[in-house]
Amino acid sequence: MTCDQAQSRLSAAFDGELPAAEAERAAAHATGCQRCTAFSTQLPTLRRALRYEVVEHVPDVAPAVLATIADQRRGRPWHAWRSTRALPLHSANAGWRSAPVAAAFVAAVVAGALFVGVNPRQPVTVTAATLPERVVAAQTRLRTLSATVTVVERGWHPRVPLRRYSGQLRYGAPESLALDLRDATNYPGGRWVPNDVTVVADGDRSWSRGPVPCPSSPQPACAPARPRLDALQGREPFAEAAPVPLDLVLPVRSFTLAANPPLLGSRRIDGRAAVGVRTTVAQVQPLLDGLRQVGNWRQLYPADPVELWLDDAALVPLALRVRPAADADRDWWAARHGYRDAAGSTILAVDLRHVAVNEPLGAGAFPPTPDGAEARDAGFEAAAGSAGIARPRWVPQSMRPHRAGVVTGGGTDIAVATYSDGRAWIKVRATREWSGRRLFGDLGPLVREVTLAGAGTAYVAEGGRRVALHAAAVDVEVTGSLPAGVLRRVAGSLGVSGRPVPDNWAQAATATVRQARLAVPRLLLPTDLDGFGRPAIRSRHGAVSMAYTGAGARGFLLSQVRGPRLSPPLEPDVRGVRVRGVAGRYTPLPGELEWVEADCVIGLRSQTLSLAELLVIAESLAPA
Amino acid sequence: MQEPSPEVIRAAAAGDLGAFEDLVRAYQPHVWRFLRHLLADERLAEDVTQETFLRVHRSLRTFGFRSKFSTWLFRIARNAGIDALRARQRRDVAMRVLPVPRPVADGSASVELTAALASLSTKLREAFVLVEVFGLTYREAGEALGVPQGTVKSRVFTARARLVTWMVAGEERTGDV
Repeated sequence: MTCDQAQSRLSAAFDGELPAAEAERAAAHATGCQRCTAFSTQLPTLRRALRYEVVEHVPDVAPAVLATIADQRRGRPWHAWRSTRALPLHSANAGWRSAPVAAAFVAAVVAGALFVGVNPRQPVTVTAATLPERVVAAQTRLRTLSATVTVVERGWHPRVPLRRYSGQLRYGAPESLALDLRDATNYPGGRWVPNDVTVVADGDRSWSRGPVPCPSSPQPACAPARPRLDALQGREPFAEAAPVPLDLVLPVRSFTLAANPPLLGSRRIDGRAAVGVRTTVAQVQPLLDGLRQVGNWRQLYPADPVELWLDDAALVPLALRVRPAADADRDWWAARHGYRDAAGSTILAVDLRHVAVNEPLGAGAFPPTPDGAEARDAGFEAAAGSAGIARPRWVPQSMRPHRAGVVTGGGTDIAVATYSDGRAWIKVRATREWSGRRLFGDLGPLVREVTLAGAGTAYVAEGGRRVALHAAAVDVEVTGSLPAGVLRRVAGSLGVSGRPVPDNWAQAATATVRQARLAVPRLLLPTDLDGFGRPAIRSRHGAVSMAYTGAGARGFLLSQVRGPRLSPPLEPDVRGVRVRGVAGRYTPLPGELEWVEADCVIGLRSQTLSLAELLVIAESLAPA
Repeated sequence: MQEPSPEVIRAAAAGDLGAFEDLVRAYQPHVWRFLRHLLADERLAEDVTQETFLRVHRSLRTFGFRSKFSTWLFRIARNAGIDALRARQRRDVAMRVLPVPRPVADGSASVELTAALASLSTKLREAFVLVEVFGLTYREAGEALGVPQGTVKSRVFTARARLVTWMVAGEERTGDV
């Protein structure tokens, strides 16, 4: 065998294109031939260099291609490609040129293993610097919305790879909404229950209809064919127990506290100027939950990337695409749920078309509760004058009183007053009968203590979305869709003086950073944290917990306790992770990253952030 | 490389632009990377990537699932790329083969390697890139390029031999420093 022949065979063997026996003969020759050995040792190096090259900028041609196809469909003349190019790709059109930002990300996600370890540097992002503020500000301008909705859902069930829906969305400010989706899927057999869903809320009544909840894996057997009808009357305004999916018409929650999102660019959707941003399932969770409030839907992974296109003027959502995130924990999650999502595929697509903003809605936009439905009474009774327990002396000027009254039942009478302007709302709930050993309202144990000008001590939670006051004879909670500063000002105008909670209440261990440092002297805090509110801190028994709330459902808990080693793992699935130069561990199920540093056990826990994000936060920690 | 589900291809062929957009987004990194190697020109690669997907859209109905989608896609990308090269050659008759770049010992070897790759003839390069970078089998690469399997084998080997020679030269130079 000559060297050339041997090398040719080594080359083919390296590609897996040579029968084993021949490959062995070539290898045998190579051992006695220096040139062949050199050749053979270079092959993996060459492949690594080319196959796993770092690609930092992959252009996104999708908008241009789709625009061209749309033009062709509209019957515009076009010519063979050699004579004219579809679009001047390298013109100064800023919209198209910003697309690669998204594409670089998509590429990293799509290519998966092919692009192993890519993008060591963050791609240069064009940020939509004012978009979160614009979304929050747009809520006072939104009076009505009507649109057709189409949804494509992939991977719900192995035998039903694709489901399609179409329907209608109607909205009338501040809290009337009707969503009706018909399932147009061709199911393989007759026993599948179509996922037809209806959600209607109007005034103090609401109703919904959809298949009985049942996870996808035991389908089609587990769902009864008859849909379930739930009806409610006496509904409290902006009730949290029966939420109206307001983020579906304007994603305020997803952009309150949000960091500036990477911009995908701008394009026209159904004749409307649209602006696109890159976000995640966790951030747009309120919107997605609103869509999937009723019925049986596939689950989405919190770190799955989402492309969201908003109307450039009204900021209402026009298009949304969810794709599977490319990381090991996502694969683990998918395996647990029985999903086999192809890399880069769109697993959920939502499109709003024929969008009409602030145009009169036709009669019957919010259909009445169907006959025969037995409406459950939620206990709210309208009473315009009775909400006087704690009435704000200040609300933003344009806000007008909305529904007010009293919620009875549950042993405690609660006075409710609400104010609204378009989709924006504020709610004040107050009671004289509070006997719980925690703050009135749904604040949870982790709160932040604030001082209101002239109104004493208040507690805020969820990054400022909730404010609670414990006063001498009254307990009050203020919530709303407006920024934290507005809600605090409303709380400060109630004419009550807040006091610190009693020592035996759940929030008694609320601490400041200074107090927390008494428990953990080398207290670490995240630096350069963008997109999260100030933390709620609790210090108890030498352990410090800090809750950070972000946009949508994003948030994490940072805990620090003095101790030399990690406690034994509670879950079987635990991974070793390198964090801040030491060996740590990650437990996917609770989403907890833990390590020991300077005789302190540190934990970062989140149901909505990926390990990659937790690691970035971990690296940013510095002594307070 | 992951193959799209037949469902997506059929939907796109039937005119579902959403499904087609999924295909574009999923495969444009691969197409662009292939064309960047084939054309050795990033901007032209971007334009031809766009053209490739317009051609894909026009001919999706004829995709008969006889070959892998990725193989079929690479064939279209390769033909669009060759057409673009011919167009460029016609425009620029003075264009000559790029000189073989000299290996540089320090830093960004991959840039140098990409340039070395660019110095190979188009025929060698397209076969080599499909196999080495995208992991196509010789049969699939042959289908994409319209040549027999054996031709792919010999082209891949020739390309490899030249690049390895170039790499070894680079290492020897590094050793001198």
